[in-house]
Amino acid sequence: MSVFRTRLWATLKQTLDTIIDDKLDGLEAELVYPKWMEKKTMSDAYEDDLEVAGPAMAAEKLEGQEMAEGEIVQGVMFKYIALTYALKLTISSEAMEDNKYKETIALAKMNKRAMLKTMDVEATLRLMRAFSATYAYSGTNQPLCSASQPLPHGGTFSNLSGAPAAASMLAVSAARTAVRKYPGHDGSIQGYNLKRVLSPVDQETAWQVLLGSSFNPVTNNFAEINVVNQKMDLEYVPIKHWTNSTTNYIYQTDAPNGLQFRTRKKPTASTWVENGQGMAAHGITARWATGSSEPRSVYGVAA
Amino acid sequence: MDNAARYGIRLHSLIGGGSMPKNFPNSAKFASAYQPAVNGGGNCTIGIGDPITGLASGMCALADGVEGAGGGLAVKGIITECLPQWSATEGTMVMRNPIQGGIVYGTNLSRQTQALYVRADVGVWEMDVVNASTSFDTIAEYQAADGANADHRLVYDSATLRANPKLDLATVATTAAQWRIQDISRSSLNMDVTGANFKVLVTCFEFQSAAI
Repeated sequence: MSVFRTRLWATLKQTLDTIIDDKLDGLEAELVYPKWMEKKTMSDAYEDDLEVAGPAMAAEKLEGQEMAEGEIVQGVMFKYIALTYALKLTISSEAMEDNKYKETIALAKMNKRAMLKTMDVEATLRLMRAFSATYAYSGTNQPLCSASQPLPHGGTFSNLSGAPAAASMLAVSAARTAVRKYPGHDGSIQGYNLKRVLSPVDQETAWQVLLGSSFNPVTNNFAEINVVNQKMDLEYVPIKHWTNSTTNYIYQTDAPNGLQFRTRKKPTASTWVENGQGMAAHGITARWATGSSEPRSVYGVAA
Repeated sequence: MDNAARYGIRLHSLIGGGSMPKNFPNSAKFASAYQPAVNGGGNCTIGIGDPITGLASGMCALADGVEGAGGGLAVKGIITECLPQWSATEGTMVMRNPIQGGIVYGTNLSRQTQALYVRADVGVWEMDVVNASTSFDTIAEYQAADGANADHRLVYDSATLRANPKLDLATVATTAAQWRIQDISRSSLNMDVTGANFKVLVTCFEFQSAAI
C-alpha cells in the first residue's frame, strides 16, 4: 500500500526525538548465505550443469585377450533458471513534501534491505527443503538430501543419515565415515571430507561446545580427545532463517559444485513518477537462481 | 513457525495495469458518531487496509466479513488513506491512522470523517489467512483452492482496537463470497505453509456494484 501522509502521520511535525527502525546500512556484511553458498554469476536466462561418469576401474586381461571395453555415460542435468524478485514502494508527493523525518521514508534503502533479506531467505530455502520430496530437484527427482541419489551407471547412493542423531562426537564420526565412502560419479568409492556444519540457530550452543572442546571425558578415560575438535577442521555456520526445524542439520563436504547462488542481475534500483497522480515509486529488482549440482557436497541429518 | 504478519487487505497490483494505486475520486464518508464494531468482538477503529461497504445514506461503514450478523457484506473498496478527523479533545482536525470511532461532527461538514480508498474491483489484493484447520497446510491444498471463493473475517484485535481483516479459509467454497482466491502470494514472507499469517492473492468477487 502506498505511503500517504497518515500512514506516517506522526512525522508531519517536528516533535520526535528518536526514530526507531531496523538497520538500513552495511547489510551486505550481515548476510549469512555467502558463508555457505558459492557465489557465481549467470550470463544467460538459464544454465545447465551436466554430470558425466567415466568407467571407474580397469579389468584384468589374460594373455592374448582383448582389453575390456569401458564406458562413459551422461548423468543428471542440473538446471539453474534465474527468477526475478522485485518490490516497489510508492509515495505521494504530499507525503514526501510534508515528512519532517526523511529517514522514515528512505524508500531506496528500505527496498535494498528487503531485497538482501529476501536473498538470504531464498538461499536458506535450499536447506529448509533439503529433506522434502515435494521440492525434489528436477534432474534427480530427489531432494538435496536423500537415501536414493541416482548414479549415472545405475544404482543409487545415500547422502542422508540413516540413524539421525543430534550433535555429538559419535554423530559426527558416523557422518565422516559415510562421506569418506561416498561414491564418485563413476559409481565406486571416491571419498570426501567433511568441511562445514549448517544448522538452525537452535543448535548453536551444542555445536560450539562440540567443536570447541579439546577433550571428551568418558569413564576410565578422562583424557579422551574430542576427535571433532582435534582431528577435523570443521567450520560451523548457524542459519537464522532456517525456521522449519530445530533439529535437522546438514554437513557440507569438500566435493565441488555444491550449494550455489548464481546472480543474473544484482539488486538494481529504479525510480519513476506519475505526475498525473503526484506519486513517486522506488523499485528494486534482482534475478538469481539457487541450487546444487552435487549431492556429494552435503550429508543431511533429519534428526 | 508463524509467518510475519501484515495488517489488512493490501494492494498487490492493479488488474488493468499501471504501477500506482488509483484512489477513487469520491472519498468515503462516515456518519457522525459512526462507531465501527466487530460482531462478537467489540468497538474498533477503521483505517488503512480495512474494507468498507457503502450504505443507502451515502455514508460508508466497515465491511463485515463472515463474522458479521448478516454475514459477509459486498465490498466497495479498501482504505488507503485517512483524511484529517475532528478531535473534540483538541478542538481541531487531527491527522491520524486509523480513524477513531464515535466521533461526532454533527452537521458541520468541515469536520466530517472521511477516508480515501481504492475500489475493490480494480486490484489484486494480498491477505493473511485465518487458518483454523488442517485442510490448508500444504501448497497443494492451497493450489486446489485457486478459483474458489471465500469471505474475509474481522479478527478483532482488542489490544490495538483494529478490525484486523483476514481471509477465512473455513469459508472456502464455490458459492458466492466476498473474495476469489487467485494464488498463493509469492512474497518471501510466506516461509511456512503450516504457520499462521500465510498470504494469498485474491480478487473481489462480491464487489458492491449495485445501486444502493
